[in-house]
Amino acid sequence: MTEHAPEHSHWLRYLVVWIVLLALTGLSYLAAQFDIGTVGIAIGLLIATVKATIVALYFMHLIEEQALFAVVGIATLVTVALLCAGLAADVGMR
Amino acid sequence: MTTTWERMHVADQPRRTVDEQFDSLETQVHSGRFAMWMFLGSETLLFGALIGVYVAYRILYGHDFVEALHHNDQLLGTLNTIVLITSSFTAAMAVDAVRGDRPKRVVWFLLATLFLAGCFLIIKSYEYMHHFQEGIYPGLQYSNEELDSRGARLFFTLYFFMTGLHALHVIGGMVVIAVIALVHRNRPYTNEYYMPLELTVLYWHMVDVVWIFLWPLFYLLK
Repeated sequence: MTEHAPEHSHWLRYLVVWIVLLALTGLSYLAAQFDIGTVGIAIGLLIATVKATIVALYFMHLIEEQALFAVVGIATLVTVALLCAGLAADVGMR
Repeated sequence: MTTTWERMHVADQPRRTVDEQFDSLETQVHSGRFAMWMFLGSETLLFGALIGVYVAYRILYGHDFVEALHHNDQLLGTLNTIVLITSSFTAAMAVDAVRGDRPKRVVWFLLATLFLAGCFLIIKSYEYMHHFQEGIYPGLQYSNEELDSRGARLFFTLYFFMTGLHALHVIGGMVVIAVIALVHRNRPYTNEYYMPLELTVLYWHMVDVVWIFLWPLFYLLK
């Protein structure tokens, strides 16, 4: 980050990412129009996770960073997933 | 040792002096970015815990909970998602512009981000007003007769709390972005040092990611 020479713009990369995110948003919306129960929920959350990953990798430059940075993100997501799975299992069996 | 005022206003002073515990400015900036990621992780856990509550209530109250979901306007929610994703794009372009030493573009992209954030809040406010008109309030004020079950009430309490908390994050982000834009106009950030701008934009992306999850939970997953 202390390179003194200005970089050329990566605008096309960001534009493509934006379009991909919009496309996934449309896909998510479309999938939600069909009544497919639990599978629908899994698909919705899966698409959301993919979108979040793309935002993190490209908009937030995670792909350029050391792997250590990804550890923070992955650890967080795993924690939330475990929390939700644990709650679902607990509450679901009452 | 230069003062902050000097660094902000005097052109030939370095933008940022290295604090003594760091070997170089690069290490300092890298450290700052990592700290920001950890903060974003903590914010994600905050919303993650609330998502846990959502999961529990959805299972506990089943049909009643999901029935209330149908009441949210899917189109407005989707529009808001598009607005925030686009604001993430313009924020990323602002950082791209500073890396390329194009200071004027930085301001335009930050303004675009602010504008889109404002649109998000306007759409959200409209949704809230519409709910209020139908007697749907968080907590005790709830007075809608059609969706009167406990599950429905809990759904809306969660909806107001989580989207409200998210909206507060949007407002906070807008304030910081505005301040950064003003600081940049006074003395432009360059590719040499732009950490405050970078960290602000990282925060903004997190706000977008949170909504990316809130959207299916409250609008789509019927």
